Amino acid sequence: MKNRWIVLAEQLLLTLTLFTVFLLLFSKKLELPYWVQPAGRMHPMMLHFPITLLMLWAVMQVFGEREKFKSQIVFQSIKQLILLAGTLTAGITVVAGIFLSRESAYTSEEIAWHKWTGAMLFFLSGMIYATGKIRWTYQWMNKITPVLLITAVMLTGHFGGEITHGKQYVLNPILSRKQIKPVPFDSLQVYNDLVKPLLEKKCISCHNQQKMKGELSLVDTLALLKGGKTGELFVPGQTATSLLLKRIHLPIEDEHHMPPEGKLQLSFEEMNLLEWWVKNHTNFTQRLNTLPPNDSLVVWAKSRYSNPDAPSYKFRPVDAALLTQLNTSYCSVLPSDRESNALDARLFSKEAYAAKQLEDLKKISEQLVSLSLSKMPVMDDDLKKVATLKNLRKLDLSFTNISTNGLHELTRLAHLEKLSLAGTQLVFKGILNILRECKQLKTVGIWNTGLTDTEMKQLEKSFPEITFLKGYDPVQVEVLKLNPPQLKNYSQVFKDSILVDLKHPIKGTTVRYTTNGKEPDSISSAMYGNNLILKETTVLNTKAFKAGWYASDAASFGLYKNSFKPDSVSITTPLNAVHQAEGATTFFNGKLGSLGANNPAWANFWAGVRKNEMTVQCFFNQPVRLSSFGLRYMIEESTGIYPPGVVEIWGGKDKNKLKLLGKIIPAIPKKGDAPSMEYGESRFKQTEILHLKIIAHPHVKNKDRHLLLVDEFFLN
Amino acid sequence: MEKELIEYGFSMNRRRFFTGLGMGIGSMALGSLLMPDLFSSSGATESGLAPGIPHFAPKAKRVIYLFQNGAPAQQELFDYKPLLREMTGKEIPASVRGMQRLTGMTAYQSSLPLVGSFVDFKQYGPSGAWISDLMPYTAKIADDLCFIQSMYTEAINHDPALTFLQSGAQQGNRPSMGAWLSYGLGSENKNLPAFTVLLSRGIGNGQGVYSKLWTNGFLDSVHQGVQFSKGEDPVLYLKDADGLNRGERREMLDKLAELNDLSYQEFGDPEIASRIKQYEMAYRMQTAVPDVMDLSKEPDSTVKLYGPDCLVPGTFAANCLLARKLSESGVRFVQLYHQGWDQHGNLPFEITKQAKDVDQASAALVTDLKQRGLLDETLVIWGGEFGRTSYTQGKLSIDNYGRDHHPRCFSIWMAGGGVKPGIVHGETDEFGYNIAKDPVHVHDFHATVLHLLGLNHEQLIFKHQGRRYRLTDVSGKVVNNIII
Repeated sequence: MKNRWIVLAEQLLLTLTLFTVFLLLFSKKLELPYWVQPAGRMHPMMLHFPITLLMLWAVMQVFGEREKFKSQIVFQSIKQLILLAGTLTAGITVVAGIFLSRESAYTSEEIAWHKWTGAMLFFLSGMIYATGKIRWTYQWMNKITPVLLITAVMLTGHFGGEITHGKQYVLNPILSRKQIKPVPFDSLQVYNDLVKPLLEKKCISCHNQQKMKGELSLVDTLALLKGGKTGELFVPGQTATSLLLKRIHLPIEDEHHMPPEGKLQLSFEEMNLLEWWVKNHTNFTQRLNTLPPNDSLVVWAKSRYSNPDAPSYKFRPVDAALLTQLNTSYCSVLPSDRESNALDARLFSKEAYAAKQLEDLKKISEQLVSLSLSKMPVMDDDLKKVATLKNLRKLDLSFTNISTNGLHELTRLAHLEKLSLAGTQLVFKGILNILRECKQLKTVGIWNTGLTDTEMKQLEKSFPEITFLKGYDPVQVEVLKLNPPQLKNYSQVFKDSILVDLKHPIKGTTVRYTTNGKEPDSISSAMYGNNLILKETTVLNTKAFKAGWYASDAASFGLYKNSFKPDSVSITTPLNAVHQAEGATTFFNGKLGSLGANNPAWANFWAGVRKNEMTVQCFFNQPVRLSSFGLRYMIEESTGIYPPGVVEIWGGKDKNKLKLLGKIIPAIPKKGDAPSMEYGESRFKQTEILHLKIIAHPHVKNKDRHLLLVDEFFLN
Repeated sequence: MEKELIEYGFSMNRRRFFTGLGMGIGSMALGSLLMPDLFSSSGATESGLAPGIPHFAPKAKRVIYLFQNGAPAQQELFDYKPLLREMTGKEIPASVRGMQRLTGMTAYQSSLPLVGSFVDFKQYGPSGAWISDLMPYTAKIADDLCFIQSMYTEAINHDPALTFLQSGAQQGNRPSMGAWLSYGLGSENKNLPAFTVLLSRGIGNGQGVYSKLWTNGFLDSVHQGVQFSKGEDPVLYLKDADGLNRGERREMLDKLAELNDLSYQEFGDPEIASRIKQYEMAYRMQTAVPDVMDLSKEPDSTVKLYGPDCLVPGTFAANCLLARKLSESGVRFVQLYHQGWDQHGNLPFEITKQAKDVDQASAALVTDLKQRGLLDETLVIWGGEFGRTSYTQGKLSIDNYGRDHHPRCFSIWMAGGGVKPGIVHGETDEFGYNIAKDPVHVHDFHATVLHLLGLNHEQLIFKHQGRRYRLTDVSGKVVNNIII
């Protein structure tokens, strides 16, 4: 069994022991060449071998005392071999560890315990091997050595782990869970609740009163302000020169980067937090709720402390068949997401409402976190059923038939956060109870409830932690202008007379009108009733008035009389592609166009001719006595929609012998005139006709781009 | 009958045939193992909109998207660029313009002079957001808003850009954002569609808004947006025909459902099942819709809050008020479009009018949701499909100019629903032409909105014609900095 490999290993072991002693004694004076560093960095890998091997030996040693193993040579010699291998690798690990400790990232205090326990472990196992070798053993030693060795392994491992992962690495999830208590958001302090925990987590293990690396301690505020060897950490407001920010923002390879490489690094958010703090720090008791609500820090802290992403609940899943059964046309029960198994329920349709629906929801009272009964005829009595839905966070009772009497039932809802009571009849005293009892309440809707302004203010004062939705107060608003009246008649063209149908959408408005072209006023102009009848072509100017509002703009409506409708009409000039309207019948169809007709989508009722005269012929089976001709046309100077230069009206009984009855010469629009719709008329001596021919010539000056749009003719 | 046979031929392709077969045997066993409620819930819910579940705890439950169609000029509303005023009339530097493509409307313009805003800006709220005097009401709620100054898109014309913002693709036929949400989250109120659309139009140049923008694409047609129009019939064909009473209607629907069910047994086309569900929903909508649409009971305070136009059907203000009512009733996605922001010319006049149309009501919606305690669970988004150029289109005069399309940057705002209030995200350069900081692509925007609703945009997937589709296509990053 004695082969030369074992001899070699034993010699190596002896050398390593001497070398380790030397290193331990002179390590402080040691200057390591760079090429040895890789050997040092083998330490985290090597250390697994001695741990495993020595532990294995310890186990074998314990069981080796049993009778049936004691006599087995093979077993005993393998055991010795394992011990030798374990001791040897322990030695290599110790040497590598000492090399590693010379790298600048570690101070001697930090690793002292690990170094000495490690060395002790090595020497101990060496000694055990040696005593076994020379058979200088007592019975008690066989029992105590494995215990000693295991203890040494665990101690060394523990101290080593602390260097790499920090103190309480293993228990931290449990310990820190205890630490983060839900802090009411409004009492959060910038330093104590946000900055300090961060420093404690990632900085203080090196920068404390004992260690004071870089002569810096971050334990208390005085020391913190004092700074360290290199100087002050920061001056509030001066982010550019802050040493603290500089160090955390250095590239990780830089030796001044903080926290040092190998330590737990700052997250992006934590760096932002420190930057915010350096910029805005005023004092150590600065409170978060003194900052504007959309300040980046407030937003961040909210997400951290109220954590809306991860609801604090998780329920057992509801049976799918039950869920299907609960979902009806008038009741939706929907999972709020795929993680929490929480459910939201809503009822619809007043007619379908029944208190039984609430009873059904009891089956999912564990999972139901939100319920909307808005606009349902819920009675006070029904609230007893609602109160059994114990996990409700949100409850919408707005515009229901409940009163303060039923509300006390809801005090059983311990988790309730949001409650809407808008549009119900509330009594001030009656709601105090629920506000007091439901401690989790954050938002309560109380508008349109009959509570007076003073009462609402009183509530806000008594319950500062609750946001009250008080609704929109129209009294505070500036006076608005009414919108103009609307004409609802089906057609604005009539034969004998028309009953004018004016409407205003807002209740209680007065509409006044004039027919003489003047703008109506609120005193002298005629008031519109439902009996305004017109018998002649009239331009009606209207305006709406109401107390508490500014008068509307004037709206003017043309109402046109057309006594004769020809038996047939023809147009001899081709119509513009987008302005075909209804062809020749356009002029007598009673439909008026509107502005914006240059766009194909809204060319609607306009018949148009481009660059040409418009010639329309009308024929009557029976003679009519005509005394006037009128037409409506559009003007949009900027796009070339122009009035006709002149309109000639020819008429008579004989098609071939028509007489010029009259002319219309519209005014030419000026450049930049706003678009408008105009009415042109020519009156003449009453003439009996069977034929009528209208020729609208383009204006001479604008012949090239002229577009004439006409929507209606009026014959009287 | 021939027509039906052809349609049957189309609907029953090789894949569906095999899918059907597969469902029959192996996958049934596996499916029931993976999802215990797979069979119990199929067809059992009355509405049939088997509720989707958010992937993680959502911050927002509903969205109201105030789409400003036509692309508002950011230089006149939320992106304050004093340099543009100083440099008005000077040519845009080539270094700023870069290789940006121009539209056909300004590509041939001989010069591209910069133009500053005609309107003044002031700073509001703790974020110090600059807001123009055209938006006095919006300025008052600056504390509740999160401005994104650095949105950008890929398309340069209205329709592709609008389609891109709505569906994550420029070509159309993909499901709209609202349809995706309806698919991902299910319906909250089974008496109303999960996705509704409201239209209004301002005085300015209008751009087309078509039903393809609220399409369900390849998703089940229950997810399609339902347009509520302004007339007496907000939802077309919802009313019972003359002479038909509720009871008869019910009977008719029951018989029809039986017939449809037979047809479903025979052909197995899922669209038949959807059709049955839609008839049922329409029946319930007959009472739910008039209830929501009735504005006559709104108190004076509401009228003052939203402005008097809120009682005039079809206005933006009325649509905002309706949006609140719909959202409050559990509609997942309310999409508004306000047309008329396309100010290629005559910008100062038109944008003033447009701003007046929307300012008070947009702000009112946020205030109203807040007072009802709904803002924290409702995400409000305000913005157009792209931005407008810092140089003028057409002639520049002292008081008149225009701006062309500009996809490289534009401003939007969001409020509520888990978005940080009172912040400004991103920045453009001092010419307001390129993004200087934190760009947000349309896909990023979509990813963020889905995230706020508890959906992982990479997991909200629908397989169609052999490809897995997402709202964010193959891209998109959540903008975490704007999330509480």
